[in-house]
Amino acid sequence: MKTFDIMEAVAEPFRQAGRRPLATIVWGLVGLLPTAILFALVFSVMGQGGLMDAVETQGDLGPEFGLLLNAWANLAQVLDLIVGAVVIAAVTRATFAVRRKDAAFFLRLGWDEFRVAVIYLLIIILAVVALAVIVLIAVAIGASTWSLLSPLARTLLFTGMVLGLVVLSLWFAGRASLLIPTAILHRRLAIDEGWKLGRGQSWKLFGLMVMLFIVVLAVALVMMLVVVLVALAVGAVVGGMDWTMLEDPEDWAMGVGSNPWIWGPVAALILIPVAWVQGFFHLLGSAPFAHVVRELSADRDSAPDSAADNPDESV
Amino acid sequence: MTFSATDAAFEGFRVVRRKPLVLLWWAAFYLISFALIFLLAAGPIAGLMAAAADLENMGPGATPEDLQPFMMAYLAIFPIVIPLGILMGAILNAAVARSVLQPGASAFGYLRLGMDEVRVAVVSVVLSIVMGLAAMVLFGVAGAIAGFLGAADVPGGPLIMVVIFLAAVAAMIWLAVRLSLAIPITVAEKKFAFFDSFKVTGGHVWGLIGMAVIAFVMTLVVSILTSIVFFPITMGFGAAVDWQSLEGMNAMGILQAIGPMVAVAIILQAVSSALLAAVMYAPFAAAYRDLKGTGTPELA
Repeated sequence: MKTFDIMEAVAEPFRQAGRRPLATIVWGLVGLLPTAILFALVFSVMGQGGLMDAVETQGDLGPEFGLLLNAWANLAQVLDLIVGAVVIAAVTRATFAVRRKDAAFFLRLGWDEFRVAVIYLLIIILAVVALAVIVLIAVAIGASTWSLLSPLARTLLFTGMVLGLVVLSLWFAGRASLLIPTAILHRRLAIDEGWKLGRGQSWKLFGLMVMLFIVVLAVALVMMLVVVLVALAVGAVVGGMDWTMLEDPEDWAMGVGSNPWIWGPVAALILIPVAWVQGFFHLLGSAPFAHVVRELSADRDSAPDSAADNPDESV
Repeated sequence: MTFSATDAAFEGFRVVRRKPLVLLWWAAFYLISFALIFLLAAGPIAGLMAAAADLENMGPGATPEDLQPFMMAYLAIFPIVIPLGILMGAILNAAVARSVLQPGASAFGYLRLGMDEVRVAVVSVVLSIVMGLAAMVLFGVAGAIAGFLGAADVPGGPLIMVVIFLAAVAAMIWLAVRLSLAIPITVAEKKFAFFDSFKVTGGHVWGLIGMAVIAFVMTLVVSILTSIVFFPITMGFGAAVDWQSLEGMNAMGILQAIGPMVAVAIILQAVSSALLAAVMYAPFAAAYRDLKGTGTPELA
């Protein structure tokens, strides 16, 4: 039976980030697109004098602002799903490609991305339904045993149930995480194959999920530290920094914002590392599972071609 | 041909790819259906709006008796909308099934009005009643057991209640899946196939559930994609409406003011609904074709 190495799978995002620094930034930029569009739209509206006047005269922004904001929020969510599908598919293709490069950084917009979106929503819906059923049963067990058990036994039972739920969630997440890479590998919705691929590997996948959780936590902490240090450094240059800022950080932040001439270059400077971080988190979320699918499936040293290259592809 | 849930789930896209014009036919059919329903129900709808305006004018002092004209006006719409809805649904369902089972018969976007449609309408109504009765019985029994357990204070009662409730839900899903191929069978075999679906779906319940769930998720994704495509159009028309002026206006006035926007929304909705109908219903016809092993010579 084919198997995989957990540490090799965890190392895959770091390997890909090292091999493809530019692609990592591009994936991050694409991933930031929905947020950027939403911010741009909101700021452009907030900047319109009419709305601020409306607040002063009427006390609210009127019905059209609510409608617009609602529409944009929906649009941002929808874009988030599409962009997520595009980037997940790109990262997965890149992992399958091992070292091979791609002029478009493996980014496409076709049936692969559609299938990724379908599987992504499918997993969310199934997880929500399963969680609702499990919570319902857990509440019923709690209500049934409340009067029968001592406080210590109740505590042990609830702790056990919560731990059981966490283990079950990670087990399901581990198995489900192979569905998207398998669909991209087989170029169809291959849900059955994806689920069966994890058969006999469930506890290794569970271990991989735990390892990834620890790695993501550690990387996030390091990134946060770096971001805070960079923000302080930028603040010191742009807004002037002294110890009094700690007494009223809000006022200091407003002061930084009153130097718009510097924001363009600073934003451009910050955008690149921020995009890399975003791209790296996309890699952490997708590359390990693509690695597992690559190892568990038949040998494959090249990425699938784009949908555009295969007009006869079956849907 | 063997049945594959994931392959069958994509049948709607294959239908549209084979005959892209069906989308226009079905969208036009939706528009005509909306127009027909609106035309025939115009009187009751106007009555409902007038009753709503009267109720609004009464303010918080309105009594339950004042609500009666509004409820009567509301109920007056049903005798028109329900039969028409069933007929239109039957025409479209039969068309989608035909597009998979008889792909060569593509005239008028597979839309017909004949005995197939009558049979589909009758089968749909009968099966809806069967499902309703089954739900009443299952949840009635579950409720009675829950009541007994609650009254008798049986140890572990809440857990048993939850298990019984989940079992009732599972039984309803099972029944829905077992009956899910009734429409394709009715169209393919030209008979009132009320319960023939039971024979065909035997041993394939999980596959059919998977297919239905995937088809449902695909309708979500398609809705999302169409909303993205239509977003600039709806936003453009929305921006053209003076929303401030609508405050204090009665229902008819609002309808007149936002008329163009509503018209555009209906057209876009019709196109979107046509695609969604194909994505949602065609997989069941494909499942019947694959399970029966009839194949479609035109596609070979």
